Amino acid sequence: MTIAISDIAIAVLSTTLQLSPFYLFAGMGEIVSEKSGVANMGLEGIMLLSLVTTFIVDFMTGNPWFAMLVALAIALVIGICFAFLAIQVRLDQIALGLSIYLFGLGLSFVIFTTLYPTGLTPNYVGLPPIFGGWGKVPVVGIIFLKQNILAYVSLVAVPLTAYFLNRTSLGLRVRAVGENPKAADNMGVNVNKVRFLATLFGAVMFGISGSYFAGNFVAGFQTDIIAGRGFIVLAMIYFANWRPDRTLFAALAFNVVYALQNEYVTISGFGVASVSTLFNMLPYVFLLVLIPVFGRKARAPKFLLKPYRKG
Amino acid sequence: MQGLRWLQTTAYNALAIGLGIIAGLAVVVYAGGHIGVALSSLFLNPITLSGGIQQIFVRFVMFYAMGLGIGIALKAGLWNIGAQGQLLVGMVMVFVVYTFLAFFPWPLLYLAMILGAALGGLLWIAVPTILRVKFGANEIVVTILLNVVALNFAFYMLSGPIKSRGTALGFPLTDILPPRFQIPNIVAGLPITYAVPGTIAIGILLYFMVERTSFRVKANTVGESIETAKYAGISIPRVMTITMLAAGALAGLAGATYIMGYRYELDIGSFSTNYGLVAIIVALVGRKHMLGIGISALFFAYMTIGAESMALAANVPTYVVFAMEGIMMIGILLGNYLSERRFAG
Amino acid sequence: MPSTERMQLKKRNGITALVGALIVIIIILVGVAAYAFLYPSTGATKTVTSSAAAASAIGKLKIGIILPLTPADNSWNYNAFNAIEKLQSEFNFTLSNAQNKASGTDADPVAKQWAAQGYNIVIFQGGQYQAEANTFAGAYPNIMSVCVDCTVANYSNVYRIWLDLSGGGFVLGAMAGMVSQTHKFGLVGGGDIPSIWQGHEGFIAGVMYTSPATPTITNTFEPFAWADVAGAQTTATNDFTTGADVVFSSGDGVDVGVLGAALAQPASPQVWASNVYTNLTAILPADNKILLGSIVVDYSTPFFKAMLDYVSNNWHYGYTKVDMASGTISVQPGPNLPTGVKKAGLALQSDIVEGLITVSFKGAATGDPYCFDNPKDSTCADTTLTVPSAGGIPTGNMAALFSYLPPVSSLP
Repeated sequence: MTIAISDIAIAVLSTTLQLSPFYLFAGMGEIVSEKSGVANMGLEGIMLLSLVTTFIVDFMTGNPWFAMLVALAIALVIGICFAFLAIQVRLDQIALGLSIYLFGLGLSFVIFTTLYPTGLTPNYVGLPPIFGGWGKVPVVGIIFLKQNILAYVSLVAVPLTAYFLNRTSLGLRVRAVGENPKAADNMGVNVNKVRFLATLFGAVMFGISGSYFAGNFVAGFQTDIIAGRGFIVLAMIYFANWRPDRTLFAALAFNVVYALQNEYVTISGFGVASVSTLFNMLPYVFLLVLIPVFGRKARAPKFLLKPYRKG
Repeated sequence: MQGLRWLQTTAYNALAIGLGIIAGLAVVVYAGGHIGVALSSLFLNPITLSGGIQQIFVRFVMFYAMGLGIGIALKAGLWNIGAQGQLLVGMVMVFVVYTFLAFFPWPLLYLAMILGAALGGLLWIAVPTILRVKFGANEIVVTILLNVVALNFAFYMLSGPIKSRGTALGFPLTDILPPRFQIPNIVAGLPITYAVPGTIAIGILLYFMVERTSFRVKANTVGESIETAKYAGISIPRVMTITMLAAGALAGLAGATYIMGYRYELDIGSFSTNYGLVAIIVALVGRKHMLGIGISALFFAYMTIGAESMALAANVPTYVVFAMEGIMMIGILLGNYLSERRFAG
Repeated sequence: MPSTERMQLKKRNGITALVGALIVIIIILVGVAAYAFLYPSTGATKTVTSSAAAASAIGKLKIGIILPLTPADNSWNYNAFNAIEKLQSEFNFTLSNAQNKASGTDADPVAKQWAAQGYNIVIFQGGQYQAEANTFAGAYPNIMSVCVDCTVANYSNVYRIWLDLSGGGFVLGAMAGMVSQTHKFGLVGGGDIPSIWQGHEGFIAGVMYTSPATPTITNTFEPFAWADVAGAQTTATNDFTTGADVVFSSGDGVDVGVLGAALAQPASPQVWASNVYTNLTAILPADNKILLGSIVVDYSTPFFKAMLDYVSNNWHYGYTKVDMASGTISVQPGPNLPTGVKKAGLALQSDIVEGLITVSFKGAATGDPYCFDNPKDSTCADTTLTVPSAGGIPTGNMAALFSYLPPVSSLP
């Protein structure tokens, strides 16, 4: 079967731009959160709940924006619980995060199946492509102009987050609280409040992530639909040394590999089904290989995972 | 004071577990289940349902084995989030040995299958161990990545190299293990396999090796503060490597007991059970103590089977058990915190 | 800590522990008390000889069906579920269903639950349950374990329903060969399993039989992606954009994807897509122009036969085959096909039903068709099919074997 290399390249780049925002939103959220010292490992649980809420509210009202709003509200509520337990009560963040993951995993699936036991749902009304007809323009249009507004917002969010962290006073406080909370406290910074806000920001971003994910799925909600990809964000941030720009690179690289293997599997029409699953591993192995290469110099915020107690 | 604290923590744990159960009941009743049926399924089905007792012991073995590994690693301050991936690799390795080393004579092959599973888990955790010990790479991140890779790897193996030549019909299924490759019951008729005393023996052995020797102090020191450990002359790489590798091997072993002692075949339904995550809860409830984890494992085996049975009886997806476990874990963490706080001053 | 505080602390701790233990005990007591709400007792079945008695005996049965997906797939699951529901409304037995059980391990707890509730028949709808159906049968010898699309029966209470799509595939392929302009054909299957493979081979044989020019054939088996609508749609779109104008699809979400791809193609040049099992009224617009035809499977007949065998105590090592020759599989040509093509297809179909044409496959030791296990064997390569000018036994390298084929010119 002859398909031009250029067609493959276009398809891969287009898919990359479609998939990356999911990782970018979550990445920016987790970066801010971890820079302040709080690691939220329950991100995939929040994403799943946000995803299922988006689906359901969208099915009921047909309005994707309202659906996202409700999903963000739920993400915020969970974020508040998590932040309180992790910062004020000082429970172990990893165990707490895993609990939230389990909770979100179970509850999201149960809710969806209870409301739609046969799997038959109304059509999902997604956010429209922001550039409309321009998305059909060959090459440039298909690659860059096909996505909805959230995708472009995510791209803008990357430099914005970098600017926030490095150039604003609140960003400085966030970083200070993660690197040296004692000194920050002495300077009059309310350590736990800053961490609280940073964690909430993270939770909301995870909500946006999950909501965005809804637009990518034709088949509807299935078991384990995110399949660990939320956790991958943790690896991306690590590899990117908690820098937004490098996270963008990591997300794009990961998704290019993902899209490549997906295209290859589709095109080559594997008669031997098994080998295609081998290719499914590629993007994750790719990330894994990058860790000793780039992750060596990764320096976590000094007080990451360490709760702060005044006095 | 020690005993009182223990009692209080246990009470808190019981409360937390009760909370989780109530949450599950609420979901079940909301979904249309009858509360009476739900309660009786939850508490009684594991014993009354045919095959229930067998399942209790199978899960007990798995939770105990994985929990032991996670507990040991936790003593050194290392989280083995990758238990699920190591479990999968262990399951796959059973069949890899079965398929590719089939020319071994039977007793050797049998042993090789079990050891191969442990080796698989060990190899799977070797990568995060090396990255952590040599490069300081956070083992949480790497083990999580490897969980996803393990899922895909297992799927690949199931679709090709270990797929059944005869009975799979092209589906991702392995051969069914004939009786001489299964773990036999201790007493014919009672559904308790040799895996049960075997795992308990390992638990007791580890109790003496870890809790009663200087290793416990060494591991704790490494876990508390690396500087103190260095100052005390403890070989940090050694402690980390031993604990992590042990954790991986135990998780792989759990896979062997599951396959050879219960399912006798591997299909994709075994991939999404998330036992590796539950094992973390088991280890935490067992306070990271080699024997306490055993009791915790038995309890959680009973509870998860009861909860799943409750969900099935009410036509609710068994995923509700995950949500229950999440709530329980939060409650347990809170309980530990509260009980420690009382004794802080 | 002063001793009064310590005593207070002890008291508080003691109370907490007591409260905790009390709560747990209360829940257990309630559970035990609620044991009275146990499941209803089992119903006994009688041996019957007459059909009125058989009907009433069937009415007392408790039957459960386990589906890999949901009836919303409008295909494999829909078909089976629809069939059993029709029977249920006719005979009024107790019917339960479990959906989204992707594998034997997922099906196991449900099957055991039903066994505890005294069910008589458990239907495992899919070859992926083969091992589980057998293990379950071994554990519960009094329950009929119906295994659809399975080759292995280790116990006498395993009742096998085997699916042979080759006849349907052949008729569709013959029509496709006649109607295609580009003589390029794509096939998309939901998994590399014998029953799907047989359908594909039948289609390929039909194409080679009637195509006036040498056809180009692309045969894709999606890796276990019966539910993968998007993936199937991508593959079919690829096929269409590289010149194929007919795509055959077999199964589940794959059908939905392929039909979707065909509908998304521009109205001209005309493309065609087929499907199996599908509930077309749910998927296609009323004025659809792209449907080549559907293979329709009638599950009611084999399910009813299983139930009848059960109540007549005639069900040991039971086996029934669903295929075109027995009338349980038929092809419905698409509404937009030229009349001559439709007539030709239906003529071939009646030849198969009447037994003039038989489609078969060389067998293998494993129970799979030989060429499924050995696709590279020289006798299995699908390169030529030559039918003698007066009809008769075709020659050439063909995986599907035919007893007789009429000359193409004789088709309406």
